[in-house]
Amino acid sequence: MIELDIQTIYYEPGQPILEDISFIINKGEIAALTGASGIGKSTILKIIAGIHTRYKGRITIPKNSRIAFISQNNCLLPWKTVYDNIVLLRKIEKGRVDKKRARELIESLGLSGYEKQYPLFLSGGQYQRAALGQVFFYEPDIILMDEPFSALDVKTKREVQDIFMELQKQHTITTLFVTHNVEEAEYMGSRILNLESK
Amino acid sequence: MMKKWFGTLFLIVLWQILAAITDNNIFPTFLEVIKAMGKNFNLIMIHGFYSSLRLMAGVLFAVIIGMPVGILIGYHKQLSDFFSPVIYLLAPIPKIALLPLIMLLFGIGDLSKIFIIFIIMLFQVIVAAHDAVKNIPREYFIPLRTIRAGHKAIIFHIIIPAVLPEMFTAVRIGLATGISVLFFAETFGTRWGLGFYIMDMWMRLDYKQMYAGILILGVLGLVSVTLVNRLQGYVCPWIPRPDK
Repeated sequence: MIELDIQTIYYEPGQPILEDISFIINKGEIAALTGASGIGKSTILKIIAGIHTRYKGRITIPKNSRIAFISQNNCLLPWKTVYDNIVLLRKIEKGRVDKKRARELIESLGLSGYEKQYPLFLSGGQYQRAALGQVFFYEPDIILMDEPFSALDVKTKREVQDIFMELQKQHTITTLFVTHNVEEAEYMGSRILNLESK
Repeated sequence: MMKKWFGTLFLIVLWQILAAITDNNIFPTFLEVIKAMGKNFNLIMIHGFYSSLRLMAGVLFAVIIGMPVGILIGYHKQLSDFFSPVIYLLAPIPKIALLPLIMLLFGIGDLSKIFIIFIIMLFQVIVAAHDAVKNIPREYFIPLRTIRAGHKAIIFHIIIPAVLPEMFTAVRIGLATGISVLFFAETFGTRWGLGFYIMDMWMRLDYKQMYAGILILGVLGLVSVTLVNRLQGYVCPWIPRPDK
């Protein structure tokens, strides 16, 4: 569950970019966050992730929640192979990884044979599936996604969206994702949160 | 494979033709130089060996010291604010002008020659590492920061791999300058090194041997860059090799 009650978000003190935002996302729910460009959607994700700290308000997340983040671009490290990218977060946290589980996940993502490939040489769909692999292998309680599928063509986008929703359902992960695409918000989100400036 | 040698072959043919047309002792033909090189081959190789050692030592120390310094300055905002102006102020100063001071401090032996290569390469490496850290896309950090990864994880998984290709570029650029300066530094205080050999042959008016030394100095540059490219292929397999 994510409970957010924020009075002000700012980059520079005294210059608020967003005010009075509150919402609750229940455990296992997928919520879409929409709104005009530059309104601060990505910043809300970064606040929940603990990366952006310039705000006044309260965020309630169950203690010891594991959060993972997928950016629009560059979510995989180009110098690591697909396998190393997928196990990266888990390895940093635990120091070792369950190789059997990694292989199973890679297979379920349709990335078998690409384990030793570098992200630069992947197609858009493979890249995004590897990014999903990284997040799901980490076994998070919450997933935050910043326009994760915006660079994909329609067919690939639907494929990756379906893979994501299947894995999300299996693991009951609370998800908040930013999108510009209303169709995507309606397809994936059980609820749409629309940000509006005052 | 053969295509990339066409340029070199063209240069050799041009040299041969021009030297044959001018027919002057100061400008021997390529074949005459190769013939002269054959006569003194072992001696030139020993001189080349000394030059290579000095060059490698200078480059190695510059990378070993410059890379962590550049990373630290690039990664730490306060250090960057403090040191960046100093680095950018010192970087363009022609280090060769410091040679008298370097000789005073390190003597006229190998140490001063290695140090001058080191100091020239050092600033290039520091600037390259600093800029590489600053240019890392911010998105790379987000997944690691979200899981509260520490500085150690960020440095080893993001910073160092991101900086490595820039190190190779800095070394490639620095090698040409390093070899030119090495030539100058080897003209005094030593009887070994290609710089000494070239100047010695010039003084003896043996132009064929002088050009043989110059040619080997060029080969040293080519071999060094090729080795750096090969090493980059092994260390940074995720990027296409610059010579492929």
